[in-house]
Amino acid sequence: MSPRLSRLLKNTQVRLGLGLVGTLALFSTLAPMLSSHDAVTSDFERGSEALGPTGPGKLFWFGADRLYRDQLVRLAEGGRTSLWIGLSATLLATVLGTAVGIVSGYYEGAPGIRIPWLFVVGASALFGVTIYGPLDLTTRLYSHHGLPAIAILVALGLVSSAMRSRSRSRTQTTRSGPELGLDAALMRAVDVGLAFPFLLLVMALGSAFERTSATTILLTLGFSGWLGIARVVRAKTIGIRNQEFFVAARALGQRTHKILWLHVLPNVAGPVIVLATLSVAQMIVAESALSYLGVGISPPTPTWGYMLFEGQEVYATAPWLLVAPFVAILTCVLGFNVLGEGLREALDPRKD
Amino acid sequence: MARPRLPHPPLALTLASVTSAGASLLLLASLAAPAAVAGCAGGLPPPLPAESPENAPPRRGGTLRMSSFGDIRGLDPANIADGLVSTLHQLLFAGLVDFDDHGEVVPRLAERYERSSDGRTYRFFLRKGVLFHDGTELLADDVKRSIERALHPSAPNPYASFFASIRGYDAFAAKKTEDLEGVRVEGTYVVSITLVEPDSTFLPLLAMQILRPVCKSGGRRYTDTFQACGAGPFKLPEGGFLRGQSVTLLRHDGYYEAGKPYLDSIVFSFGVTISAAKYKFLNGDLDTLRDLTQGDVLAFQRDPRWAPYAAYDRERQIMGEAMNTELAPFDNVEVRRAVAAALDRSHYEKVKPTTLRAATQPIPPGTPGYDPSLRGQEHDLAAALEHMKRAGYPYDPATKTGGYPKVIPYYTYRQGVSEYTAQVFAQEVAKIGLRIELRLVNYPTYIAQIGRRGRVSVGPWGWSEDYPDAIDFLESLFHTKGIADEDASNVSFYRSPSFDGLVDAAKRELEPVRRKDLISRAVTKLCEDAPFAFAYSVRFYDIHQGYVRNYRVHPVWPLDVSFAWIDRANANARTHAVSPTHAPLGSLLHR
Repeated sequence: MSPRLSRLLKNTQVRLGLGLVGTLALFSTLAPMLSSHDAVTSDFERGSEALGPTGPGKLFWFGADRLYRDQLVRLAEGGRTSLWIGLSATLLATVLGTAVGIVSGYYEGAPGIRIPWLFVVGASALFGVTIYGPLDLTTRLYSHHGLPAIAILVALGLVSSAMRSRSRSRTQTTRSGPELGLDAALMRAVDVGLAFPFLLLVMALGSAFERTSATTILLTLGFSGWLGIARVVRAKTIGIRNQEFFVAARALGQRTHKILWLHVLPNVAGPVIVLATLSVAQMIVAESALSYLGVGISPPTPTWGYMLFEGQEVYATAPWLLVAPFVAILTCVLGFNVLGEGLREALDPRKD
Repeated sequence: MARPRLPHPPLALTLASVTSAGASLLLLASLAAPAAVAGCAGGLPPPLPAESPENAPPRRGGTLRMSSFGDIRGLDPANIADGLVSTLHQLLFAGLVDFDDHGEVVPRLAERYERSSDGRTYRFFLRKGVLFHDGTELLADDVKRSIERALHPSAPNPYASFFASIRGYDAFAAKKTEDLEGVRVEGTYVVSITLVEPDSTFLPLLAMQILRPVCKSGGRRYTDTFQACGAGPFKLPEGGFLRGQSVTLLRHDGYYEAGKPYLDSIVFSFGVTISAAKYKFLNGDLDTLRDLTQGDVLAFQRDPRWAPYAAYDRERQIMGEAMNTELAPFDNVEVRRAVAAALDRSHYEKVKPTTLRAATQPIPPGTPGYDPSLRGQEHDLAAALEHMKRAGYPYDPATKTGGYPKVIPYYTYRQGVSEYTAQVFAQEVAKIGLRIELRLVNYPTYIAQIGRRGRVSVGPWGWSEDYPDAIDFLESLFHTKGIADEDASNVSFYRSPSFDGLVDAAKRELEPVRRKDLISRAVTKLCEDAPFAFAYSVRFYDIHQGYVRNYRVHPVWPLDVSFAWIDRANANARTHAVSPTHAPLGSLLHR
């Protein structure tokens, strides 16, 4: 066992985090086998008492929910959904964020392309009209899935490049324009992404698809969760770029993708793993929040957030409906956070 | 038109949730979990009792305080835009006729009325000396002016078309005439209304609040600056309506019934959350309570001390699964019949046992025209499977094979119990081989979608009564004239000339027995053709403190406190009976 791995496993926080997460994973896998009920079928006869769902007991260990379904099985199924979404969305976000961060950091400071002023002014005008223009004009601009607006942008690009090639030897004005490097382009995209209201995006996607499934939630969370990771990885990459092994690799003429793969990636892996672990917890909370707000996975698929929503109205008479998903979310988020903290501590290079 | 009225979610909660969803969730969970444990630990305090014996004469004075989590946009009867406002209209405006305690139409501002032998003309003889809130006397001119004011196209009156049977209405509504021909002043205190044909729904409609006389300050035409002024038992003082906050009403001392009303004033607060209302009520800061969670209703029902002061309203709303008869697979009547027979309505009841009651026909129980002898759409799984077989989609429940091959999208919205009943529906029809996929949209989107032709194949829909009569439900939901490409009220797009004929005939029929028979035949036809699988009706639970006397559950008017009185000598000592565990958070903090 490598010293780093053994240090990892000796870390109390790592052990506690793994224990909590492992217990939940085990519960989610095994609990449905312990019940004769499934997660979506109501037991109207045995699940109800005089005027409400039955409480925890022999038949329903965690009680029945307000549609008389087995809360235990729903909690376990909800756990599977949460873990699946949390892990997959994190994987997606991590891969995307790491790739963008490494490329961006690597090309930081490299010369970019000049955008002709004509295009900049034209695109700005289009943007201005979109935001402040009269409604009927905006509607026309964005009719047919925004085709007229896209056509204007493409036309601007074509005219600009044609003008630039013709005037290459003439005036400076038509040639000049703001310079845009790959790093700047990617980071400005990250800025915009971070500024975009996340819930609005999810709601827009939800209404576009009419039905939100685990996959749409997962993709939404994944594609909107990479931004922070990209920033951190970029900063780390810029730091690595000045180190001797990196300079040596470039001086020896190693190709870019090999440098990134062999020298940069292993050196940013530590923080990425820590970020990813913490991100799982955030993803699970985000998924629960979406379900709670009614823009998550459509019922009857159980999710912890939706179970919390279902339970809140009857908390006075059926408190178990609120307590169970609350404890589950808390345990899961705590588990991943503690694990992330432990990993951060254990993978700290200063301790090597 | 009265679509099912739904509560609006509290804005503050929505915003808070949106701005910091994750944090709010954890916060809510951490707050709610201990609250949940605390919530089931204690009982209710006893009701605050009346001071006088049961048969004591009413005593004048006092203020009655009521509240709702909802809000109203205005108080003009010519622009009824909110379900909640009828409680206030009943206090502010009195009509020529009204509903008595048994739901029968009786004269009120009219001393008496007569109907002509051809059933087309109603002649109303007004009481003499009836005073409006501004002190002027109610005359026949005021009745005509108020009717024309409410029905003129300049008024945004959603109910105007209900009165299309008044002679000259079409020309008046089209602004071709300035005078509604069918309404005539025949003397200072005599006014007549002539219809184009006999209409059995006219009197119940007139007894509603839409055409009730308003003061001369209301003018001949609607304006949105009208300060509510009528001839009801309470009047609105200057500044009495604080938008979004409250309405304060004072006793109308010139009310035509001598000695009535008894209360000095009534304060109705808006936007009071359900939990805040409960605590205020238990603390003696509110005198009546209507907005209750299921848990609250159960708690009150389990406590026998509250039994004399609590009662259910009559059901005024019917809900069902609307199947679009123009879209597959519900264009096949056998599939619709199968669905109607597959639903075990007792399962719907269990979604919210304190509020929902299983329904097998389109008329809520207690509504004039409801026929308890009709069996309606009964639950019969074997028959449902047989209907599926006849439809060409046989299903074997043992092997779970067969049935309709495609997944059917079921649209619903996230308010009230709809998303729960949707899940019940999906489970019930899965037993006959229909696979449902739920699609949750917001309520305004849902309204637009289900009323659009060719859009929604199945979804929840229902009707809240506009006036207490079976015709309201049958005509609005199922008559061919309710079909439109957009905003249809007949959301099943159900067409049946024979059904239309029965409803039209019942509407014209003034003889009660024949009318009842026509309605029953129409209901039977509807249950067979099954454009809806009727599911449940909705009822509300009202509670008041023991010292609120003469508070009754009226068959038509929710929260009718017109002639209630307060039987407490010292209203300031109201908090003494409340134990500390039930005091609101604010008073606990003060301690």
